[in-house]
Amino acid sequence: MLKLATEPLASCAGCHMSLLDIHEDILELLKKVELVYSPVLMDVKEPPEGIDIAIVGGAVRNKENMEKLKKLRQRSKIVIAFGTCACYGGISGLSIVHSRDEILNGVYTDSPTTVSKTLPSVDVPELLYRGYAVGDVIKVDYYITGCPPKEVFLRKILLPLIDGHVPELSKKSVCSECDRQMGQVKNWKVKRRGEGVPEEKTCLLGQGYICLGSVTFGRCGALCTHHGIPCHGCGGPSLDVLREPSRDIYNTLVTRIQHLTELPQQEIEKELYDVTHTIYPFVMGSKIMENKSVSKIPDIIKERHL
Amino acid sequence: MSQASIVRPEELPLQCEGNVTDYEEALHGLMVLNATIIRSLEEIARGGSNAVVYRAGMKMGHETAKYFPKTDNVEKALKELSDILGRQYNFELYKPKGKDSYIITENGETFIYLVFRDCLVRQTLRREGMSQKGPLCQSLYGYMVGAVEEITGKRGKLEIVHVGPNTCLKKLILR
Amino acid sequence: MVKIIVDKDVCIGCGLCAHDCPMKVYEIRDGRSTVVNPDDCMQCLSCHEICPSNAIEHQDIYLSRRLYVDLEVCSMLRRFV
Repeated sequence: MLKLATEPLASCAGCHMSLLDIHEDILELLKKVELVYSPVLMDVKEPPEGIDIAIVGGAVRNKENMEKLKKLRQRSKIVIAFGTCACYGGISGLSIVHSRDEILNGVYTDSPTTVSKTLPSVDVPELLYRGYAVGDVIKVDYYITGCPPKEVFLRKILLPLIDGHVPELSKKSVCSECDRQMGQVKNWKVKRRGEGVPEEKTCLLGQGYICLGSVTFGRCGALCTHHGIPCHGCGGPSLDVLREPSRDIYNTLVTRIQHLTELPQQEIEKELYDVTHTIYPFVMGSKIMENKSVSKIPDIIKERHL
Repeated sequence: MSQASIVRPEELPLQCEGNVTDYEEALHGLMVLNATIIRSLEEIARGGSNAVVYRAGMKMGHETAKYFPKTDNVEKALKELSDILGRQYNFELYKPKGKDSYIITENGETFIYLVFRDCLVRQTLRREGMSQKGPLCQSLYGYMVGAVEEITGKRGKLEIVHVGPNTCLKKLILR
Repeated sequence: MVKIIVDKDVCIGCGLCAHDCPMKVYEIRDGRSTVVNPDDCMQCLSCHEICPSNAIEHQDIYLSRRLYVDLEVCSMLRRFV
């Protein structure tokens, strides 16, 4: 029997719950593995030695996360980074645009209804100055993205991976799964998410909403765009954007809008608002995306800290 | 840090700092340096950067084509040149469907289509996220014009028609 | 001979490939992209770069040297499931 460990680091635990999404296949899984460490289900406090597979979700945000992660890497043969927070930093990565004091004061002392103005310090691990992706701290054996990884694909991925066999699945962007029609557009103007009612059957980007479907990794069945919600990029960047050093989420999106609407680049850039939260929310903490020379992430960080 | 035990000026050292397989790192370092230099050159010299890089390309073209047998046939010269350029700058002659010869005359111009496949310049620009068709591409322009001039004695022009991630299409315009 | 395949289930009919191709290889028919002129394809792969849904596949082409991809990204992509 293989020894399986799961660990939620700084996460919403959604990825952990999604492990149950394999429905009846969980009986097959339990015939092959023995759970030895899972803080959500068991009372074991420390990861034991000799773990075969460790499924890690969530980002690294405080000192305890960092220590647990390094212990898991030492004591396991295979580590799987599960979910967008583990692969790219996720929402916890947005902490890099604020200083540690701003965050702590905003939560514990400055809010209008807080009575006692002290910061908790007993039994609470210290916050690091930024959030890290798991892949940037240790060497990971497999990356599975998604927020959380959706059940249709999880059933095809998880069991073969435990057996050591990597399945071949589609690696295309969200647009490939979306059933809307795209075409040339005239008089393009940006609309915020709550403005107007999206039309059915035509592309949301063409209607003015900032939909990141063409630059996001798919495998979610395009559920959001099917119901009229513009894609927020929760699967991380698509592989053709990740691979090229000259392409980044921001400049590929601007190029696509340029081709669809024939507007010049400066006008499109003026229309885009709040780049941090509309375009980079899930990848801000990733060192790979920050290191691209065309990335806007270093500019955003410099601007916020001024 | 490893210490070299004995170093003498007349001997060839078989081991030095770093690894002989460090080529990948060195290549990336060189590409970043090259791209940054051309970006700074363009910021300061603007139009002049085109002229500088073009002249450098022409020198390389003259050097390569120095030992070629002189001929008047441009097609034959280009085919031999593409063999010599070998693997870092690989180009071919291209004939669109419907034309029977490589030399095409249209709108008063006589030209040959060339497709450039492997290109170190394209790789350098993509490494740093710079756009193609800029000053560094002028080095290929100077190269082709210089080589053709050395072999056939005629001076032509090279125009870029379309750039792409895998291949670029250019026109060699002959007088 | 270059063989180009467009996946019709995935194509969303935006027409960006037909708009960008210098050799007019593609045409939009019935709301989907169709290959009408594969013999003139010069294998520049600009259509791959601009397609929003990664619908195009080329077979048996000359793939130029690509030594510029970042080494860290390469090792991450090899371990992507």
